[in-house]
Amino acid sequence: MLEIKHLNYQPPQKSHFLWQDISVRLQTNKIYGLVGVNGVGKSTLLNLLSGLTLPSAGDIYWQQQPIHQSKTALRQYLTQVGYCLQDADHLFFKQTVREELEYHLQADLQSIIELLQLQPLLERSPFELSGGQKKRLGLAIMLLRKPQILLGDEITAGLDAHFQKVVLSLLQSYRDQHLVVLVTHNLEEALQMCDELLFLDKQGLHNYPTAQVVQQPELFAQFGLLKPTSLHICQQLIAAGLLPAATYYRSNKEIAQALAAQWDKDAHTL
Amino acid sequence: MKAALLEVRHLQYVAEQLVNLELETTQHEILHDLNFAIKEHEFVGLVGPNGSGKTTLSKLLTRILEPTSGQILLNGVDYQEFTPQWQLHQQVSLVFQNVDAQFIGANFQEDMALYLGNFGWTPAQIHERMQTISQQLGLSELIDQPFKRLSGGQKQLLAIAEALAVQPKLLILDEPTAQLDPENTQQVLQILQKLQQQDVTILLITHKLAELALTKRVLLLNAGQITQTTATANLLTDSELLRVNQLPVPDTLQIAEHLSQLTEQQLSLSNPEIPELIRVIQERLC
Repeated sequence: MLEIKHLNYQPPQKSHFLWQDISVRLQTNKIYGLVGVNGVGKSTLLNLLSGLTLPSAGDIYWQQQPIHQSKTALRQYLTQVGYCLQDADHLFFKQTVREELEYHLQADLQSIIELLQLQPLLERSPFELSGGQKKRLGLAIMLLRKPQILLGDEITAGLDAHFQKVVLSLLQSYRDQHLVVLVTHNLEEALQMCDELLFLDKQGLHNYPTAQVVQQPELFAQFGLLKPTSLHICQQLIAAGLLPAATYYRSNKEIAQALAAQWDKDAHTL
Repeated sequence: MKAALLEVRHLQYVAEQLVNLELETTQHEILHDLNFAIKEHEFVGLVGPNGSGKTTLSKLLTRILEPTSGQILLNGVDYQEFTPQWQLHQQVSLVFQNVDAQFIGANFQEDMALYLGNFGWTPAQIHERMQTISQQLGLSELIDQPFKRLSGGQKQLLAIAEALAVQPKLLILDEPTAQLDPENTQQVLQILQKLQQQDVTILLITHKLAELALTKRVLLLNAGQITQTTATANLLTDSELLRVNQLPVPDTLQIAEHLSQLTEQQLSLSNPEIPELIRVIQERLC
């Protein structure tokens, strides 16, 4: 379990902390979506969780030990963390994709190459890849290390639709016995994939099970966010009398199933 | 009939990668025999799977890269005839996919001074332009903030402001809202709509449907070739074409598809908007 206690951060040359207080418990076997408005500090919080940035107040506890208690504790924690940075270039330092992957090898290399379709890219320089290809390589590197805690900053931004699905499916499998925290602006993706949503604002972190968020779409406006499209569609269908009042769904498939159930219920008319 | 602002003829780009210090290289063809034109005042989308050559094309169109063969013409003038080269850069502007690669200065003020100073603008002109553009985009509070302290989204808005500063004839945007939250995405989209009304010709590279919906025509790039050009309205209601080009299918189309399978009724949408979905359901199932 990862626990954050009274965490805070004061940026250099600023006179104030970013938030009032961040305290939350994060469990393994879960994917958390970290959401919030632009500039609220999502990437900063992820940097703090990664151990790479020193907090100004509070600490992060891994297996009940504060990670900044000593250099040994921090070093131990860093071996448990995989961090997919927003800019994947910062992860690379080898001449070819193959060398990058083989450097981090701790698991089945070939299955990762196949899943993320990196085969055609193996002999190319990582720095010559397209933005989306770099993202896939960055994720492959992290998965090969099999970290207990996987952090991702806009992990599907720049990926085409096919690879978005591949990556989301990979992460859902990875959740088993691991802890995953993803910063994302893509609230549709967060709804479909995450077990809990962590809403970050200046007051701190507010976590809700995704199933609860789906039934309370007004939560998004509360944190300055636009409602995801699927919930907006549900509201319009409810207003048109095609779905029962206050029924919301996470995915388009679920919406269609609810509509079809209404159609069946009313003997083939809605 | 509108004249072509930009013409691309038989464009090819082969990337060379240095293998060792004996200067051996490997070659990898990224773009192959591209041919297309963009008319003045058009708002055109460019889509394609990861690695299809979209960013490479954007760099060729701004002469960051030189083609292996073929021609690019702006208003009928070959790119190679623009001397000095900066004359082209005042007419064709690019917002990079990775905005950190776009900035040289420590903050926006400094970067604008370097950028516009290179074109011979005076400090007074630079200051006036910076004030205007930052106010237009609501970025006045960010202009003296160090880039390293700004979020990815804030930097992306500043990158757009900088590209607009020279009032280019052709504005190319490479996934401009990739790092933005939905609210700032809307702000950028509104800005792009205004620009289109102000006669700026725009080429928008994107994976996002909301951005694509602003365009009138889309170029489909796959494995280094333009495979098709189509009206955006056609693309956004063609699930098959969207999937083949690795684009997301609009939520409303997905719901209609699932519902068609579940009810064994054919539910086709003429546009991806929610009222159309409601209309079709009411017509076919009520």
